Parts: sequence; structure tokens; C-alpha cells
Amino acid sequence: MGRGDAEASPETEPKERRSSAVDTLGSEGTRTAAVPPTGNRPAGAPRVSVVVFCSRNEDRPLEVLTELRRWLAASGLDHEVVIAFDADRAAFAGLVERQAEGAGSRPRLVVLSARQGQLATIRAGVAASTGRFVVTLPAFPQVDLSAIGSVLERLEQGADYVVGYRASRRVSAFNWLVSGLFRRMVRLASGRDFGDIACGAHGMRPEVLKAIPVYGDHQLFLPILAEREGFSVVETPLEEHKTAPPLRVFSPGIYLARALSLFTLAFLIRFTQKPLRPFGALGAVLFVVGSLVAVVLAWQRVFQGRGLADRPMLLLALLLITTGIQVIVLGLLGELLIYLHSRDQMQYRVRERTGVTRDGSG
Amino acid sequence: MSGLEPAPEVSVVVPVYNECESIPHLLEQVAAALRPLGRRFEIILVDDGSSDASWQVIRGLTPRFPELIGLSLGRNYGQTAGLMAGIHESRGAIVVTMDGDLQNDPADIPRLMAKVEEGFEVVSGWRRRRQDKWLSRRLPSLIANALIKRVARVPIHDQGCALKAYRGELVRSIALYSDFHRFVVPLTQMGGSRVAEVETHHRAREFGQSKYGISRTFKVMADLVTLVMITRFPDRLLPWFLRFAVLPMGLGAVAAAWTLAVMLAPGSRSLMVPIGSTVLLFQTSVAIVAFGLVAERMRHLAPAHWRTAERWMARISEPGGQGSQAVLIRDGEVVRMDGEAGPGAQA
Repeated sequence: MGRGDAEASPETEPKERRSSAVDTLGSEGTRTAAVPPTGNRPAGAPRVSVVVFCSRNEDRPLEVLTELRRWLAASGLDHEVVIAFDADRAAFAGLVERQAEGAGSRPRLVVLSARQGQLATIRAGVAASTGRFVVTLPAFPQVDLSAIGSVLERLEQGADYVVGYRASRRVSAFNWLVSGLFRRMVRLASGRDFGDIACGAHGMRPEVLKAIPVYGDHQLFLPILAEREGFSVVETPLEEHKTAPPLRVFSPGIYLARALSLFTLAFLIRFTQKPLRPFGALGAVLFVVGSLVAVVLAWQRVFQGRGLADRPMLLLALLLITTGIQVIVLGLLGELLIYLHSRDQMQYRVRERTGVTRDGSG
Repeated sequence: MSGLEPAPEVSVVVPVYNECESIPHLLEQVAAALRPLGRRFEIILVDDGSSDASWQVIRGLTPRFPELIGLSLGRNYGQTAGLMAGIHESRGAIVVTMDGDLQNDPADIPRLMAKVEEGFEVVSGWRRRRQDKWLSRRLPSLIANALIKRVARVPIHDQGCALKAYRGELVRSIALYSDFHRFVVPLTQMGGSRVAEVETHHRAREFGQSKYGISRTFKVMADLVTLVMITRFPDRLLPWFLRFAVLPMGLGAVAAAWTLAVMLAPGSRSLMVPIGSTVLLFQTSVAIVAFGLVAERMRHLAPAHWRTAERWMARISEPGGQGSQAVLIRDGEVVRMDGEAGPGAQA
């Protein structure tokens, strides 16, 4: 339901050529060395860290942890469990510890000291993990725990980041509409279509998170930014949890905030490298429209004898012209900023290299 | 550097995007052009996130071409990043760049190299007889060339020819980003490099699709304005921004005179529009001056290497030596461009 045209792109789909004609959709990252395929954590590290993040009122971390413990024990995976709480969920931490005493295995607890939202909670949890791969799960029953296995499999096949989507999802008409709209906005902002923008089950190599800029307030920003950084991002189908709660309706403010942050993201992705292009285009349009109005007014003044002093239209024309110039100059200021720091941001990532090696190891 | 094979004398850097059919021919031809010279060379192919088998082809060819170094970028970043990745990887005293679509003829490379060794820091190919469609490719390119030549003051005919040769140290020191691959020559010119042109062959595209269109005109124009700012006004940003204040300031003066005239004229007329116009135009002038001051401040806060890298080039003649040598002055040190050791040469 939530997934209309439901083919999961098995690989990072290469987009149409962004030749020099089109915007080089710049990213803000730094040039980094190729990430070794097995990750860069020590050999003794657990194979997978399951990071449960808890940042919402209706989260049920105890329930999730109980089920997770049972599932992990049955699966025989080499694992560790990390649970990260946003500051206002801190009360749960005590409960989790008490519960863990009875169960005999204690997860690593991370509690943020100030309320920072979902994405910061996830980042903190991943930072505290030690596994070679990380799978994140929301602290309420959203997907069937077999998700951990599916996501891990994709990571071990070589993906850098895995986004889950619920293949069979029950949603209300309203939520279907809203998430459809957001899905479209995400596609516009990032150029990438994600089947299920609300699915909290993601997987990643932990080093991916270090390489991408800290930005945004929603989990989906991670794969979008990771892809901009040159990591391979894939989607994988997951089962919805049998007792998954229905998606609730949020207040309009939350939807508005999310839309605004997506707009900012789109702007950052598409125009960071070349601010003069959007600003120049906007400024040029304003300037030309203003000039046309001014020409009409001048024509009427010269040939029809209509005085200008009582024509507010002249103010409009001048406002358009002056705003246009200022917008263009702002774009130039942006260009200067990018240029002055261009050497610090070589915006590409080398994934693989062949040929003679050079550095010491020879 | 000890224990490793010596650095190559020539690096050929080729960004490729969806060129799997061309790549084997390209390698054959580059090798055929360079092997007879008996110089150490490397060929750096940068796969810019191709969706076809380009990277598999490059990997497959690696054993056959010991000179080949392949780089695979994480996604399709665009031509500039591909070029930059290859240039950063290169080690040659001479760096040759070209397109991967075989429209450049690798047989021209030795002539470009010879020109560099004659003492030019930048040698650009000139496709005198282009094999492209006139309206969609050659006309826009003629206009762009005329504009770049005039605006950026670079005296070459064919800015768009991808076949170019550079002194390695020079091209490795410039900052390329976004779509600036078109402007490598103007950027190297900032430091006073000597530029030469060599006529090169140009062949019609045999494989694949052309990746350009006419739609880029606006973007090139915007980039050109930026280029003028950073190449011609790097130390005079306030005067550069003040240029944009000339129009509003002039109009503002006219509006002020007009306001005065209306005020002094007999009879009572509304002053709303004249005063409004004056205020609006002067406000804009003030804002632009403020932007210019911010720009100056930004430049002072910029990393120090910005001031040294592409902008400082000099010629040094040693006492007792013959002729002069082109050097870069980078981070307060002399960097020679011929790869030879000498006083101040790179460690």
C-alpha cells in the first residue's frame, strides 16, 4: 500500500548523466579514502550492532528489547545491543537497566543530555556501537525482527547503507496521502525515490556516518547524504511487525517543519557548489521584469506625457530592479565563500582503485 | 618515496563516463603514442560513476596495461570532480588531460609534451577542424570561446578542447570544483603561466552518446561572472562589488535631484514616489557596499593557501645557471615544476 510502484532498486541506480550542462549536484563532504570492504573496526568486534533509538513519546523500548533479546539468542548472531535515548526519554534508561538485570544481558545505554531529536539519537547510538555493521531499529514494534538478517545480508554483499521498506504495510488513507506527498518531496529534494520514508530499520557501515555531514532532523537524511557522499545506498524489503501500531496523525507544525527541512536539503544538495546559478537566475528575472515596467513607464512619460511623481508603479519597478541586483550580489558572495574553501572540500570519493600501489606497502 | 618505482614523467588523466566501448581503444592508442618515446608514463582512468560496464572494462584491462591506474568514484559527480580525482592521483612532471570519447587523438600527446618541455606551463589543444554538429555544438562553443577569451583574457582559440598538457605541479595546485573544468587555463593564468596552443586532430564520435547540450548557456554565463571575480579581482573585492552599486547609485542621484525639483516646484504635489525611489536606490547602494566589505572580510579569513596556490608563479634564474626556471611559490616555499631536486624543491 505504502509502496505504489514497488520495485526496489537493487543497486544504487545511476542517474542520467549529469553532464557539465546540468548542475553538478555538489555535496559538502570531504575527499575520503576508499572504505575497506570489511569496515575499519577491529577484528574482534561483534559482527553486528543493533542500535535501538528511542526519541518519541509512544516508544516502547522494554517490549522491543525483550523481543530483540529472544530473537538474537535464537539467531546465534555475533552481536551487541545499543539503546540510545533522547534526553526526555531518559527515564526509560533506568527501567531498561532493571529489566536487563533479570535477563542477564545488559545492552549498552546511551542517553543524550539535551533533547536533540531522532537523528541525533541515532547518531549517538551508532557512535557508541562497536560492531562491524550497524542495524538501527525504532523503539516500537515496526518491522519483524527478521529485518536484522535481511539488512545485514545486504551490507555483507557490499552495500554501504541499507534502507528498509515495509513491503506489506497497513496505512490509513490520510497517512497514505501524507506519506505519498512526502515521498515525492524527498524524491524532488534528493533525486532518489525511497519506498518507505518512515521505516526505522536501516543498516550501515559505521564509518559512513562519520563521513557524512551532520545535518537534518530525520533519519532519512542519512541515506540521502550518504548517497551524495558517494556511498552505495540500497533498499531492501522487510516484513511489517505483526503488532505494529497504526501510524498516528501528527500536528500540522510537525509536517510543516519536515517540509521546510526537506526544502533546505534540496537547496543544499542542488546549489551549494554554485550559488550564483539559482541566485543569478532569480535576480536576473527580477531585474528584467523591473526594467520592463520601467521602460513602459518611461514610454508613457515621454510619449503620452503622464507624470511619474504620482505613479507608485515606479516604486514597484525600482524595487524589482534593486532587489534583483542585491540577489545577484548575494549569489556572488556565496560563490566567493565556496571558492575560498574549495580546496578543503574536494567533493568526490574514490570507491575503488586498480593499478600499481604506491604508498609504502608497495 | 624510497623503495618504490620512480615517479612517471608523464601522467595521462582521462575521466570517463559510460565509455565502455571506447576504453580499450583509448588505452591502445595512448600506449601506442607514448611507448615509442621511451618515457615512464601512467594512464589514469577515472570512472565517474558510470552506469555501464566501464569500471569492469577498466579492471579487466589492468593486467594488460602496467601503466594503467583506475579510479572508481562513488557516484557520478560530474566531469570536474573526475578530472580533479585523476589530477590528484597523478605524479607525472607533465600531466596530460583528455576526454574518454576518442574525439581527441592520443597521437597528438607527444607534440603537446614537447611544447611543455619547450618551457610553456600550459599547452592547449586546438581543434581547428571540428567534427561536430554546427548549430548545437560549434556555435555555442564559438560564442563561449569568444566570451572566455575576452572576459578571462586567455589568448587561446579553443577553450573547450579537453586535450591539454600542464606542468604537473601547477595543475595539481589549482582548486577545481563544481563545473570549473572548462576554466583550468584561466585559473592557471592567474599566476602568470605561459600558455601555448597546438593544433590537434578531432574525430567524430564513434561510440556512445554526446553528453553536452545547448542548455548550459546560462550556467556558463553565471560561472564566467564568478571566474572574473576570482581571477581578476582576487585582491580587490570591494571595487568588484562596487561595480554593482554603480547603477543604483546613479539612479539614486537622479531620483534625489528629481525629489528636489518636485519640492521646489510651485504647487503642492505628492513627494511619495520621488522620495521612495531615492530611498530605495540609495539603500541598495549601501547594501552592496556592505556585501563588498563582507567579501573582503571573508577573503582575510580564508585559509592561507588560497593566497598562494594558483596565484604565485615566478621564474628563478640561478647565478651561474642558464636560462630561468618556472616555479610555484606555495605556502612560503619554492616548488619547482620540472620534478628535479634543487634548492627549495619538494621534499
